[in-house]
Amino acid sequence: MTTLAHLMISGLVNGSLYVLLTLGLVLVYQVSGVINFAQGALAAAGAYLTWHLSSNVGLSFWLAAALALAIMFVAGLLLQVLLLKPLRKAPVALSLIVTLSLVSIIEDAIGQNWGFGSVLFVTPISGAPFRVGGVLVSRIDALTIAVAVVLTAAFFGAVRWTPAGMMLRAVAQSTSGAQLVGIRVGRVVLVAWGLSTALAAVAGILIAGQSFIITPSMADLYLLSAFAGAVIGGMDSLAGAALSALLIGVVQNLVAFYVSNLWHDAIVFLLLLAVLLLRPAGLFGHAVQRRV
Amino acid sequence: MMRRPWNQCAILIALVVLVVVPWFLDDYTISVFNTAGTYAIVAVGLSLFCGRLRQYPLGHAGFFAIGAFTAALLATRLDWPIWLDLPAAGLAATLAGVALGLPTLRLGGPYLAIATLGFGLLVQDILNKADWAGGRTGVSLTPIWPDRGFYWLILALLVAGAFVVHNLRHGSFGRALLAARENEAAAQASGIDVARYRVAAFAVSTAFAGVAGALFAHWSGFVSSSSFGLPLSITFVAMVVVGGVDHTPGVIVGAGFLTALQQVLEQQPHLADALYAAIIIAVLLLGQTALARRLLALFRRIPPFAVGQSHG
Amino acid sequence: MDKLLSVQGVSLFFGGLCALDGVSVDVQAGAISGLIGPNGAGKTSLLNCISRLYRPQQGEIWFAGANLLLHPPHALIGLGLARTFQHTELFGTMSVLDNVLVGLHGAGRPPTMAEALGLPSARRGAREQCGRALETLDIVGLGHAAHDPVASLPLGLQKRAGLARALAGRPRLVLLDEPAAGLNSSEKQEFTALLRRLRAEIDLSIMLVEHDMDMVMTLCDHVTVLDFGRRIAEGPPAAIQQHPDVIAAYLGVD
Repeated sequence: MTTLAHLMISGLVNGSLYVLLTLGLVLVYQVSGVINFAQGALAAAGAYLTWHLSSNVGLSFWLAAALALAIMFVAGLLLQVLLLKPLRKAPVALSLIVTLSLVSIIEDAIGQNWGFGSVLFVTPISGAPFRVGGVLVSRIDALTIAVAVVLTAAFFGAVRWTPAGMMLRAVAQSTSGAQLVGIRVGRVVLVAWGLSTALAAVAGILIAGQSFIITPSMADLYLLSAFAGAVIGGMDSLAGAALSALLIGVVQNLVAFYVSNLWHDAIVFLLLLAVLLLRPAGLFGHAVQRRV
Repeated sequence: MMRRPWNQCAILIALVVLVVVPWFLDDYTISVFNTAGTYAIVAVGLSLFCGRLRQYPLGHAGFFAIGAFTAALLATRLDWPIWLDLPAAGLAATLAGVALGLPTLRLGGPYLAIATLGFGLLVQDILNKADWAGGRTGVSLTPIWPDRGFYWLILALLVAGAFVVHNLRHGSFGRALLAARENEAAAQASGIDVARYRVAAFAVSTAFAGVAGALFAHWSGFVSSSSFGLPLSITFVAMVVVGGVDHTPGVIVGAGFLTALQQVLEQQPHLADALYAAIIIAVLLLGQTALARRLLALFRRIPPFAVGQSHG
Repeated sequence: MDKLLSVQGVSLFFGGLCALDGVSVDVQAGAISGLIGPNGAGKTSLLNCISRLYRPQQGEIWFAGANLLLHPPHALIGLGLARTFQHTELFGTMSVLDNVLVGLHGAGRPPTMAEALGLPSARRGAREQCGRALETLDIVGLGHAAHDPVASLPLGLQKRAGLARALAGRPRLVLLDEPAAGLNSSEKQEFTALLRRLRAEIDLSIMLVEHDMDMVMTLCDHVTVLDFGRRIAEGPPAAIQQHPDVIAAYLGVD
């Protein structure tokens, strides 16, 4: 029983990380139609920035993290306005190529500056693990889940109840419609990208906190599962994507333990393939009907 | 196809130059030409699909790899001659293309990109783990001709491929594809089996990729799964886009340009990946500028609406 | 006279919404048959069922002895059934001639292999197709505009282009979806005359969905009236004009 609980907890932890990455992915997809394959590399960049600011520059960890988030937010803005905005009229595959190419640029930049090997990442989170109903939950695990819950709730709350959130939903549904009612679509898209990269950075820092070491490609596998969550849940349903990402975290863990470790990634591929073939719009997405 | 006479003249001159040029080049340059030529074959095949259907598959390195490994294994394990394993490789890639295309081509938007991306990565992953087939360590073939000999074979196949693609693009096949993209319901009502045509166009592109892969295996003498990854798939699409999707000579020039670029970057092995990626991005962005559009229109000398111009 | 098209008891539902409820319509060979009804009556839905864009949950559709429900939409041209669309649905980036050439797709084009290899037989076939397409354009009066981009034509001529595309392969029956929508009265008269001529010259049967009552009454041999997805009347135009249910449907009942 405790084994199952352990698996569930670590599954939820992984799932939380996937949710953070997925939210960013689906957000930019909905407002700009682009899948940001560089989300994982951006997460790693967030982790490295935090490490650099705290270990090399000497800031306190929390200050470093906050600064890193701010920098990554700006990076997201720059990314959108410099690289993606010029391509918004072109076929979407070109934007996909840009985000794909960014992966090697970002990971190379990280490697050139701080080395391609593993770097030690130390967080000030220490202390005895919590005891939750007979199971030990480490502090970093608890923090990860807590951050994911808070951010997700804040995110959904903002989207639902704030005027900014309404603008976001309007742009996601129809850019031309949003423009007609006076929404500055360009600005909404810009901010969405900034938020998305900031979320990636949060995920990156938490991933680093989990594994204590960072490498340029540390988040690549996390991105794969987050991406699967987005597709399986449905790219036009934020809630569906988030839920799917969380479930993938749990399912992956269960499968890896009860079936075999080799299936940890393969199960994600399989689920992704199954959804693409049977219900491409995703479990919670809407298929488009064309009336003539 | 209503072509201005000087267009045909220019192409003829270019052909003559290409046929004659190997006598004046050293071995290294010939191998660069050979690489460019094999990649150009893929790009030309892709350009029919991308140009008419405006969708960009992101996994053609997978079909290239299937072609390369099929030819390599048939030649080394079963001693098949080149004129048999080349079509066999093309066939293998075509079958794979149909298998992937049937379920995924009806998916619009980014889903085709995702599915083809996944396919390319999957093929590379399988080949990486397939030690029995050579996998990452690779398969070596003894080239049956020197590089110069392969140059003319590659050139001949490239010209033949360009001819076929041109005929398809401007004939009822290309028209059916264009109709299918513009208005699926009206195309169906006119008798076009949209699904079948999409798969057929995709299969043509994968067939070209497979044959090109087999050519690559033979002239370079070595295939390893590590060379057929996502960067190569992106390269193929970039070649199509740079050249101006619908325009075959442009695509071939684009292939040459990007190959030359890659060779230059090889000098800086550490930064090569990132630099190349940066240049691809730059090329895509520059292509969106008005200047680029005007240059392209000048090069093509075809008025914008004359896509699918009918026979006179 | 035999029944060319026979729609029997077709019902179509979109989720809980009933678009067609047990509709039966027949079209005799050589006839011009009208399908009218208020907006939302299900006329276009019926056309879409016949042209196999929708699949009715109940009923049968027979055309020239073939069970249409067994055929996919792209097979209909081969059986001799063509259609036009309410919003022309032309291929905007192509010329008028190319649009009509697409219409010939189901009716004898050079085999793809020959085309790919550029064989003389394929070139001959292409020239012959061009000839047939130009002939069709002449019949509808668009011969002079063959090489113009179809998007540059005024609406009236675009409708003719759509008609030419549908007729290119000389179908036995053509379904016309509101061909007069957006035309002024002289264009409508020309169109009516054109349709009558076509019936005679190329042995064409027509099923016509229309709102313009004048056109329907002068042109059609037989009229079917739909309201809320049900057939409420059918017969010759004169009888339909007097039919109390039809009047009620259009003007409303107090």
